[in-house]
Amino acid sequence: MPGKSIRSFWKRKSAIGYLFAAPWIIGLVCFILGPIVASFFLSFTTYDGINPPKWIGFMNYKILFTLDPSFLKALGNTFYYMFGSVFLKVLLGLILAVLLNNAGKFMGIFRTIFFLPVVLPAVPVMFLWMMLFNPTNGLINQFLGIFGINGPLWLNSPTWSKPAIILMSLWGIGGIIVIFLAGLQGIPTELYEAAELDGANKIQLFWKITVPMLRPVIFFNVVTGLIGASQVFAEAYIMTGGGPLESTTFVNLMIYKLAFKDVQMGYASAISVVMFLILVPLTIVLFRIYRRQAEF
Amino acid sequence: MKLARSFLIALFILVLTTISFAAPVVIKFWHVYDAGIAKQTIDQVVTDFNKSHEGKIRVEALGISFWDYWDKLRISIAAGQEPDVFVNDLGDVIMRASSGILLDLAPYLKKAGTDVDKTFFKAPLDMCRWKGGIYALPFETDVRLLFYNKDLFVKAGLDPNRPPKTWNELWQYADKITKKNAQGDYDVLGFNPLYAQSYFWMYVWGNGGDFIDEKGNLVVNSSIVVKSLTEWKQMVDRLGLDKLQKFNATYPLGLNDAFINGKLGMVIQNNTFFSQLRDYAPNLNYGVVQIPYPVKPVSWSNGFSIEASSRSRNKDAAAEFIIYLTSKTPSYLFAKNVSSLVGNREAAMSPDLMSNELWKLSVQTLDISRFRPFVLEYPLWYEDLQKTVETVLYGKSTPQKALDDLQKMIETQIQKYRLTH
Amino acid sequence: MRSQKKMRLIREIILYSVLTLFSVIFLVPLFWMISTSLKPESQVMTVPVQWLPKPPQWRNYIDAVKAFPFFRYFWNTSFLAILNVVGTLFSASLVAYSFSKLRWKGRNQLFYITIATMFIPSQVLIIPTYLIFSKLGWINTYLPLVVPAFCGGGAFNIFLLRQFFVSIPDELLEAARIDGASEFRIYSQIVLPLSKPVLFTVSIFTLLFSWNDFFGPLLYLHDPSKWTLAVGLRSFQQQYTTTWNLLMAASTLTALPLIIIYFIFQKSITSGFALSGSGK
Repeated sequence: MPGKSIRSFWKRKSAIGYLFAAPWIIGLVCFILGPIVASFFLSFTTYDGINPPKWIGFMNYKILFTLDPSFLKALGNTFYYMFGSVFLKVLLGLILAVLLNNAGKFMGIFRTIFFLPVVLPAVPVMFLWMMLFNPTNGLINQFLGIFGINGPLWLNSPTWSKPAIILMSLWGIGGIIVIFLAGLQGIPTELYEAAELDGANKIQLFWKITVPMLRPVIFFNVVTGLIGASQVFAEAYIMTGGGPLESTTFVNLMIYKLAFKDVQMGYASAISVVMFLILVPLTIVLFRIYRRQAEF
Repeated sequence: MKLARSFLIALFILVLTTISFAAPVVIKFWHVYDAGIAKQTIDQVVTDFNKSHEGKIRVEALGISFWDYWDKLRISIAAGQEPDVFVNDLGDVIMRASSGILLDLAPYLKKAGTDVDKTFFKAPLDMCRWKGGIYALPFETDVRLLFYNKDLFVKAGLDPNRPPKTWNELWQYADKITKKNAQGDYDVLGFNPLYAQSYFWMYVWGNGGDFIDEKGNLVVNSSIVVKSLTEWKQMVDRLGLDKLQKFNATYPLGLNDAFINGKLGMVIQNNTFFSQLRDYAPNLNYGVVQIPYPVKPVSWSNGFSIEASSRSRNKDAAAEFIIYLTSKTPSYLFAKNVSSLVGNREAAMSPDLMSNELWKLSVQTLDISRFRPFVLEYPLWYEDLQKTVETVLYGKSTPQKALDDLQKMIETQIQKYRLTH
Repeated sequence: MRSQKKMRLIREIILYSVLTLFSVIFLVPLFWMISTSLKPESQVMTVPVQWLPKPPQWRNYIDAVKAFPFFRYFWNTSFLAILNVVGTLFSASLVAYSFSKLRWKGRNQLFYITIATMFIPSQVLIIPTYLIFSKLGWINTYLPLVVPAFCGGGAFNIFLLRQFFVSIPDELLEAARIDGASEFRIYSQIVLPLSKPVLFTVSIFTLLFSWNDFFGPLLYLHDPSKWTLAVGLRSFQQQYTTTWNLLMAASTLTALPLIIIYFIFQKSITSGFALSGSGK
């Protein structure tokens, strides 16, 4: 008898647990797990959104890997942006965070300034940078002109369009700075004091203590940054439309154009699946780091 | 009691049926005329239509900005939520017709007694025909013309009443107009082959070339196309791709347009360009002629079609509205107010419109003008042609190799289409 | 000793000049946005640079608001943001409570999966999600932009809340349970009031995210009267012209609410960010 009541007690408890988690279980199945399965299915079909999907086996993948040079180009562009922006963001973010950490009572003011662009809405920011990047009238090239530098065409140049978008992304570095700052403040000051007693200078302290102690945070920022940057879309959609010479056609823009402009949803799904499979190892690495770091 | 109840029910049913009979059929109509005189004109046409169909059909029109319109429309079609009637690209009607999304208007035109061959210009109408049906009607079409700045001609010592006729003359004149500044950038350009509506395919046609061979296949690497691309690259290289692009970035179209600001001697533009000139540069002294040609005179046309969805619940009403919209009176009103070349020939040929020189020139140019050939298996081939041209201009490939590559791409796209349809 | 002091002074001078230099670089674009928003059209694209508008055209703001349905879009944007915040607060906290304070079969496994979804590349979701919403007939309604918020509000928010709830001692809850309080009562009357700071952080994050969302409204709303500010700003990019001064005025107005919120709640926003990075 008591055993039964305990079991029913737990059953009831379990039921409440499921009930409370129900919104998320529904969301997880409908908006994440279901769509992943559906993407895999659609990638083996042609689908124009009007007539029912038609099964064509591996045809989409065959075209993707053997005949369509634009996918590799888009993949290259995406990786260029991912690694370029994340490397510079983390490097500059770390440097600025270390400087800020030494800024004493002025830290608050500088932090306010560096973080401000993070809260600005993305679309107005892109319009703003389109003005700044104008080759003749833009602020950047006029500034370079002071030093006699004939600035590049930025968004209108196949070579400089991606660096321009990366440069713009650096403006939103405030989030990373704040994260590093929190990490820096978690490093026990005794470590520095001990090392200083051993005669280490500031630069040595940075490499011997700061960087190793921050390694998990750096890793975290690199991997979340890469995943986030892999989804770059609005920048190209609004600022360049993917040009010039497809130099800013990122994978997500290509998927959007194929799915919603050319209405080749099957082919677009195949690209999304390939991108997913490429990014999964990255996801696993990140997950491992996260699990080691966060206690759950 | 019982009698009273059944009487009430009968009355209720009667009221319901009268309401449902009286409620007009609602037709949703999406278009790109979201501002200015074009919007006012369309609104007026729709109001007129609604008035004359009071109680029967009510058209609800929605204008969406040109930049967003196309994606919005495609997405709504993919979601099965497209409006009953919509404006679309006249260049690829067949693509949609073949997918089954468009309503064949031929039976409705027949019933209405419209003689389509008499009513519409031939070339635009032909873009709407597929397998014996008519899947759209041409509302607006256009032509490309050469606009030239007479003051810049005089300044360069050229006769402002003798515009260039051939491509050779064009460059001779252009070189006289072009001026560089101290940094070596172009202050004034005679002509820029990469600006405004100057497209490579028009140059190919002007060279006597074609993209469709005798067998009806899409061929982009014929010797004449390769030759044209080689010449095209030479023209650009002579002026410097970098410098031309800097020029383009400095003068984005619109208010800052190079021609409007007197920085460009000659420009290939749409026939409606004159309305921008009227608004932004009322004092500019300019002339308009047909585009110079290397071998034979040609122009490029495209336009907007009006289409009805085959999934519309009110096909009769939708077709009736389309036929009205493209009929003589509304088309004439649109042509007169917006100065756009309407597809309705009878409206476009109205004597008062033809008395305008530019209008007459546009209508005449329609005779030598062509549409891009439509290829069902690969409708966006011309976008890839543009990319190929860019690749060559940037020196990433040679004309021959780049066009050969494109030809391979075309063949696989066609193969893919055949495999999946 | 003196030379050490001198060294320190030099170091501080370098430190502050570097930081000041970067501050200027960070502020110039913002300054440029506001300056352009007040310029007459003739001063927008000039060589050499025109730093300050002469004279400031305050009218631009009136014209910008009139040039597109600003108040309509502002209302739409706020409406969506509020619904998202409400939905996320409610559903994410409920789910987080379940993950932290209730025991059920498969709980930990599901929590792992939840964490893993934070890192799923969203590309793979775009098309099927769109198709699901379109089959449900939700295209051109606000449902695709709101319903997900009520379905847990995303893994990140659940995670943030769950980590906070874990730190609330179980004894507190047990006492209430012995008194016969229902789980919902414990959740709403004990746990939620204790979690105000983290709930606030979640609200701000959701608000920022919703206000900035461009892709969602772009994809799901085709009727211009339903658009949000982020999408509506594109109406300044006409087929032939971009009116930069008005666009910048409208952009400033779009950004203003967020700037104000930032200055008021700066501390909790930055600490929320730091929290997300440390993963604790």
